[in-house]
Amino acid sequence: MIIEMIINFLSFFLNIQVEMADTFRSDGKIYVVILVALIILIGIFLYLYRIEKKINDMNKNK
Amino acid sequence: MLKKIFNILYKYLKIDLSLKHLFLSVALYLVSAIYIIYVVFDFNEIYEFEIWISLFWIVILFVSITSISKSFFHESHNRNYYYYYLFSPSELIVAKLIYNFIFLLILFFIAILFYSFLLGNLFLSKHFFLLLFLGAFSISNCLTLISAISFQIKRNSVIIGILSFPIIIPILKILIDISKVSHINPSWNVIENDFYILILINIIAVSLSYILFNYLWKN
Amino acid sequence: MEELKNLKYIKLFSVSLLIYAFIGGFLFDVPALPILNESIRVLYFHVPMWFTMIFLLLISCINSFYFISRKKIIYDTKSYTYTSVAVFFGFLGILSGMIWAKFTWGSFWTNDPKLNGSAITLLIYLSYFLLRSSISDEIKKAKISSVYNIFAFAMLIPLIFILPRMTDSLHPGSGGNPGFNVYDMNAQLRMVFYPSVLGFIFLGIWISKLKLVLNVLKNDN
Repeated sequence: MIIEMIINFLSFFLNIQVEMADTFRSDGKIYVVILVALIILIGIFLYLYRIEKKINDMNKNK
Repeated sequence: MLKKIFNILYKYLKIDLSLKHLFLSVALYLVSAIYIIYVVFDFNEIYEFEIWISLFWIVILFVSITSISKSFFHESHNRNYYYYYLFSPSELIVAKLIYNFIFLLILFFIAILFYSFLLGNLFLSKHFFLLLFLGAFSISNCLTLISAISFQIKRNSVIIGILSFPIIIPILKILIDISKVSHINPSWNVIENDFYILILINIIAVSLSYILFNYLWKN
Repeated sequence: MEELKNLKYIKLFSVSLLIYAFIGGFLFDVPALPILNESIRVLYFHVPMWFTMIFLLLISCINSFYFISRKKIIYDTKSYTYTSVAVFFGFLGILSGMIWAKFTWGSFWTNDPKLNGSAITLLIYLSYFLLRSSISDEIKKAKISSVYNIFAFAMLIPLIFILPRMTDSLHPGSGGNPGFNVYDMNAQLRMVFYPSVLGFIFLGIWISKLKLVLNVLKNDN
């Protein structure tokens, strides 16, 4: 039983290793959606950060 | 108004005839561009219709941008003031559109003559000359306002390229598509839609040039 | 700050619609299609970018038109601000679209009329910024760039709205059909898609208003 468990454990890792290259295609490509949503959010945050920085610079100059 | 437009056209023609180097420089630009293609490509490669026609339109694109930017370059400020008092902006822009169209048409015919002389004229047809006519019409309509815009800026030779490329790409794409398709199947049904889009683009370009040049011209 | 006065409802709508879109976008049922799989949910985040971009460009074009008819510099500042935010959304749209394309069509970029249209749009507006930066005189800059803005937007209409529908495309809605028809999009998708579009449009307006205040202050200094 213990041996079986170890084999299961190992094969679990092996399986993951095989699927590693394809992470983004696993689970019906849901990770693509997450990646896209993250890119859009991060993009918007960076843009807002830039605007805020410009405002701060202007306040310093005054 | 028609009389005045003819008057302006006549003046432009006279200037261009007296300053021969303007037309000659553009023609030389054209000839050397075609000659580069001749040197670089093998005749067997260029024998394929797709490459032949695409290269031809690309040459046309560069030549028309250069020539139309030149058409506003040679006008000095004094002459502009002179025009400003004599003619209304709408007359000027109509004259400019017509003049650019004729100028491009002449250039295109020189181009097709030289191009087919060097690279073979196996693909010329009646349709192709009609297409050349249509191409000169749409390219000149789109570029005239752009050249008027870039005329107002210093260092305009770079600006006109940047401003006109993205606007001219769709027209060039449609023209190349029409010429490819009509070579294989020269019937009206195939090119009908593309043709209507081209007409639509021309209507937009001409009407906007006519309206917007008023605002651009006044100082 | 009169620009920020009417912002309350826009902020409220934007936040609530986007929260709804992000929850619904990940959790609600979607039609099971081959190749697309779950990545059909990207529709809720990728396509609204383009809607927002076009909407902001339209506002920018209207403001340019106001400038040349009313000759007030504020309209030009507005049009510049809306354009810059629109271009930002356009870049987000291209980035997200590239990733979606990689996992469904197999490559980051394909020669597709819609992709070409979006690339040309970005090129046109990048050259608009270049045009602005090459003129130093304020009034002249405003005048010339407004003229170019109106002309460019008008030339974009056949490029974006008509051309992709007439040629073959990997995108849905090509070949004579209007953008999204009954076959491409069912009620389930619409229930999240339209709120998401509205939410992103309101977000775009919100960001533009903030940036507008910044640009107006910069002009005054």
